[in-house]
Amino acid sequence: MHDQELIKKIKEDNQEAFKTLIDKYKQQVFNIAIGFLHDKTSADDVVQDVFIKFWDTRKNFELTAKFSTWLFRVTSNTCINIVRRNKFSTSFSSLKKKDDENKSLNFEDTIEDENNTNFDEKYRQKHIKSALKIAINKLPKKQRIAFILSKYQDFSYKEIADIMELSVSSIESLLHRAKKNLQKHLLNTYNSLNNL
Amino acid sequence: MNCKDIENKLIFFIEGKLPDAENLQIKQHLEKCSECSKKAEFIRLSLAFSDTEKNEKVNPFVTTRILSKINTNRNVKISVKKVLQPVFVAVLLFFTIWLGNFSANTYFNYEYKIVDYQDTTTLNKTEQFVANDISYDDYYFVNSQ
Repeated sequence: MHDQELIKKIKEDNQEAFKTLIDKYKQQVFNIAIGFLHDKTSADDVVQDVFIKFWDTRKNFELTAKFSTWLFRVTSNTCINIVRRNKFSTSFSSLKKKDDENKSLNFEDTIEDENNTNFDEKYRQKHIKSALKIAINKLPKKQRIAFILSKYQDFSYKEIADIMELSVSSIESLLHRAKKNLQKHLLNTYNSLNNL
Repeated sequence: MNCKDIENKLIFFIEGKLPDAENLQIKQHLEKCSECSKKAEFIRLSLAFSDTEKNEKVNPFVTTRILSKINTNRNVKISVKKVLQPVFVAVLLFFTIWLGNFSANTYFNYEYKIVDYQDTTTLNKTEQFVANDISYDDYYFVNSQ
């Protein structure tokens, strides 16, 4: 069934049509959300919020473009807002978290004393994960959205352009700059790790 | 190409987005330069981590959760309606009564003049006659003048 037919039914409070729509797009919404938030639980929450937001506004919903375009735009904006909100609290809790991480690593160190390579690998994985997270979050807003839609959802330039309401050439340029910036931030992390 | 030039193109090399000639140059450089090779590996692993995240699956119960949430919200809305409706009717009734009272006072404002008949000095002859304060003859005498 086409999205337009589903939306028409949803406007008439048809929950079965709404269920079909959720099942069709939930994984894609989740992929975008995890690209921004890097946390499974938070990404699941975003999936819930986005679909509930749609349900609450279904009566006034005017489908001027593709539904999926609208949905992915709302998802990106919701995630950007969450990241912005979290930045404040994260800056305060980061010191404590670092301390906790070191403690847990030391604990792992003692229990895995016999297998140092295992510890090194875990430590390295942890740093690689946080390096990517930090590098993505350091990107300017538009570059970040374009990169995540491209990397986490494999959207084409045209699809990203529709979602972000920009031209295809702007998306090409945004993605090029995003990758260059990402590379710069990753190399900075690599250098700082090596200087420890 | 020196190490700096290589560093600037590592991400595009890893993604396989460079022309063949450039690709080969970087490949040859990485085979010789261990530092650039380590950096390339770090970027490759970081980007590969995004693939790991991409393969995560959404919670299978998310649809059920959303549907139960919208039904809960609807019930809450209905119960709010149940409470607010009688309150609204009561307020409307009170307002209607007040409006009726207000408009009656505004447009049919009767003034009742209270005359103190004990003090008849301020009254004219007719009023004094009505108040039984003067006789008919006195009243007639005044009016016939």
